[in-house]
Amino acid sequence: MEWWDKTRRRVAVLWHRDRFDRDLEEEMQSHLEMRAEENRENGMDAAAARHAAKRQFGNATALKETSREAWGWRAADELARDLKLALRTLRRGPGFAAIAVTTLALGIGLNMAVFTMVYKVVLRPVNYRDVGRLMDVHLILTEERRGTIPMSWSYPKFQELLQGNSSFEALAAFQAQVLTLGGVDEQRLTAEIVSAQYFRMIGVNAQLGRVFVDEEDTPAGASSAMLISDGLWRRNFGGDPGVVGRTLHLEGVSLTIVGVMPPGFKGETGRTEAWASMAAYLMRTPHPGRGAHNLEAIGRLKPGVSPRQADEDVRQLVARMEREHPTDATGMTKWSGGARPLLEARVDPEVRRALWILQAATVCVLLIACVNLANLLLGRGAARRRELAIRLALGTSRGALVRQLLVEPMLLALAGGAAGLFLAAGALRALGLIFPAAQQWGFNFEYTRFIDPESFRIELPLAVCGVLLALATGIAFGLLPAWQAARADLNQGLRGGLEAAGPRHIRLRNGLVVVQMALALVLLAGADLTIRSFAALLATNFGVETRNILTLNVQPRTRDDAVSRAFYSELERRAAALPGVVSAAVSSMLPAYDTGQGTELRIDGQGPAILTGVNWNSPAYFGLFRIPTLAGRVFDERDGENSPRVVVLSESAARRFFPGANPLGRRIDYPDMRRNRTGVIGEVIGVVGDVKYGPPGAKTRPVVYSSTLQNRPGWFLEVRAARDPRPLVPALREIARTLDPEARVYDVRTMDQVIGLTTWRARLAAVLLGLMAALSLALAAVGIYGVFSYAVAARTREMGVRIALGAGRERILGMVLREGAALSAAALAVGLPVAWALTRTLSSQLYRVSAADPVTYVSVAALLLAVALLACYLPARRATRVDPVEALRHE
Amino acid sequence: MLNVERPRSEIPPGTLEMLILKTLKRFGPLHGYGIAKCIQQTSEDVLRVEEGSLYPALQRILIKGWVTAEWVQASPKRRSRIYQLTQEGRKQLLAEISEYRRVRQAIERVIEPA
Repeated sequence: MEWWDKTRRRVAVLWHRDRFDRDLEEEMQSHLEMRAEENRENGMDAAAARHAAKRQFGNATALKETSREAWGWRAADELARDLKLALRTLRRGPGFAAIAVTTLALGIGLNMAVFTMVYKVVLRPVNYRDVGRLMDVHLILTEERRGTIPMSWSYPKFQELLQGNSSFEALAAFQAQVLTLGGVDEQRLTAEIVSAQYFRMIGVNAQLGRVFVDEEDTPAGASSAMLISDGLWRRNFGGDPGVVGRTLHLEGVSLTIVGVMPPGFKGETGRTEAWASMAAYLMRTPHPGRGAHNLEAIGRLKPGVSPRQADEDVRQLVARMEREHPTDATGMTKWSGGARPLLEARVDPEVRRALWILQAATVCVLLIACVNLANLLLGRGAARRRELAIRLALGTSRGALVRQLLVEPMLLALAGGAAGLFLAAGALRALGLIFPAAQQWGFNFEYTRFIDPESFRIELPLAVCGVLLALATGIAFGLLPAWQAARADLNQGLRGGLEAAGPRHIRLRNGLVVVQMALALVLLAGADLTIRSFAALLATNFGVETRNILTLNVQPRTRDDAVSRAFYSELERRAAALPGVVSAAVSSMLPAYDTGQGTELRIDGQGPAILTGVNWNSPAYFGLFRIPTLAGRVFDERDGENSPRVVVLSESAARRFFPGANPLGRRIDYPDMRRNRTGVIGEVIGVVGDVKYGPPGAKTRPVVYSSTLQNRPGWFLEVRAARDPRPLVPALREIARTLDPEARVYDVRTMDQVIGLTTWRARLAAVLLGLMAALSLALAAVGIYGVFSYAVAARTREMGVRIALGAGRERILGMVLREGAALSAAALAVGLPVAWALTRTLSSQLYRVSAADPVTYVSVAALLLAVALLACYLPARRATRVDPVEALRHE
Repeated sequence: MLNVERPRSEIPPGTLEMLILKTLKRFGPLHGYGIAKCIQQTSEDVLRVEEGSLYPALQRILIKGWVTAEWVQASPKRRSRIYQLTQEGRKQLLAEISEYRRVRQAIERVIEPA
């Protein structure tokens, strides 16, 4: 702080420098007068008194100077002079300044944008009080077929965790759901039921009203307490401060708003808009069973307890619980428990990886930009050798010269950083568009947080990082050229022009070009692999034709099965009758979207149960998606409720259930979900082509098709139109509302959008890495061009001599291009092994492309070579146009 | 009165600031000329400051925050800049004096005949 006080005083006085000078002058003057007066009183005459006073005082001018220096202004003055000098130099070459600032703005801006994203998504997905001490506490289910999966707690088990653990000072439970908010404008939103401890533990308070209190953890009366998000408050209530006390209906439970959460707080899911107290949970399930695992738990570690200790504590606690009350008496599944840091649990590992790779690529781009600028500055330094040599000869110290030469890059870096800040803000907005509005966050989510592009804002700490980055960049690209220029040999410098720069200088610049080309090559290889993988994903054959298909999730209010079945068949009939609609169907599974819940099936009523997806669909489904019938027939209208039960198998299901045998006529047991009864038999009447349910990267799994006319109805309505189906949405909503005024329609998407949802991570990686690679290639090209332009200019005389002596223009051209090729070869020699090693990290992200794919390396090497040769072709052509007479007169 | 020239000594380097602080402590707020005179008189004219050199020293201790300065109207035609010791200046003075004593004792031990 003392340092700060001093600086403050210094600056305060510096600000009023004129006054300081006047004050000092006046003070010294009055000193002299007083001394002279006293001398006079002691008997001197006036002139002698003044003279003696001056003698006693000393050299006033020098003393004033020393006084001024005491305030440390010399450095400020020198800095001001250096700044002026640098500005003048920059003004003389506005083109250079523009290129430098643009390059830096790109490099710094992209880094800031990407880092902001990394920070918000990976490093601080949630920003709670002392978030590093918060743990995600979970059960672990180990099942032979499905492996190990983290599981939620049941209410009774959570109570035992609360009492039995010794690691947490507080534990909160929550349950996230997509619910429907009743009211005039019905809307679906993500809600969380949380225990009162939750908000206390994470240190977030309501901006209006209050958060839950402990009493609200248990039901009292017919209503339960509720909190709403800032967004919901503004959207639904126009930000009315009187909202507290209002009552809402959420999925049939009546809830009273007690508070509004602060802006930006979006709960554990990253998009929660309403919170209900634990009372709501107990109101819906008054006697929660031990096996109803639907509560997530968060705990705050006691001081001194390590995450590892907590993990072990939970494991032992669950082992104890299982000994006393085994969850699965058959022993087929094993239950355990554990804890992991919340920050880790809230990040999708795939996204984390992708973003870090992207960050690395962005740093590479900045490095290439730095190398470019260093190279440009080296060139300018060489061009200014004479001037610098003269200044050295006139007595400027080398240190001062380095400082002066560093001022210019620092200025450029700061300007670039400032421009980068704006660029980053824009880039973040664009990046937000790449994240789909509805990321797949469906049935079996593991609390992967919704990535909220709205949170991608550059906040103060990030902006400070940006400024520091800019300064570091300035030093990074400015130091080498400055040092290089300042250690110049005076003698040579005074004598020569460009040529005097010497071979060492050229070698240095060539080395830098090789480095940046190698970096660009690494990025190109990574981008190429990612893009090809994405292309492979896009080219995935889902086994269905997706063009002009619209899908809607439609839910009637009724729970009655017969009513519901009538609702869907009428919905399908009326939708199909709409003008412009080719056909309509309903189903419980949607291609590409979900893997389908596993249903236990038995072949011919015997053998071990096989876990398979069952799609309840209407007969029109196969035709609508153009799923080919491979054997037998698919079910149709004749296979109604009173006819024999039939099923259709997918090709892989037929192969897996009946290897080498004809499946037609065989029987499959499948449970009748409607009556919660097993043992209903279906006869296999046909085999259809495989359809991929689930994301393109997933394996195609066997599926059994069962008619909605014979079993329970599905909930997706699919409509195939003759052209773009989106204009049909209002009419379809209208049909649903006519059939059931309380019906809900949501997740309205075209099939292509559905597929887009499943590939957004790959798209993110492909688009961004592709962008970075293109940028790095462009920067490298500029670098090569710059160096060759310089080299050709420096050798004008040599070229002139060669031409004068009869060298053909082709030979000159060939000579320069050969040098370009040599540099490229060096870059390939360095870059290819590095790319080979680094792209290993991409392996897990690639689909149907090997990270060691030779096609990639050959094509990016060829691309780099082509760009490099083009970039040196332009200066080379200039070399061939050298006029020998002009060139020889050059000196 | 005749100015009787007596042998005068330069102040040991580095002690000027200490002398200024001590003077301000003993005599209270003073202007530059006052400080010079007080040092001279209390040292019975042995120590003679090259009066002007007070001013750079004053700047240094102003920056460090050991003194504050304020202009006052001393007479109808003259303003004086009065320097005043701060709390920090007091602390610094004690530190400097004890440091000075330590050094002095050390020097004396070296030059005293054994």
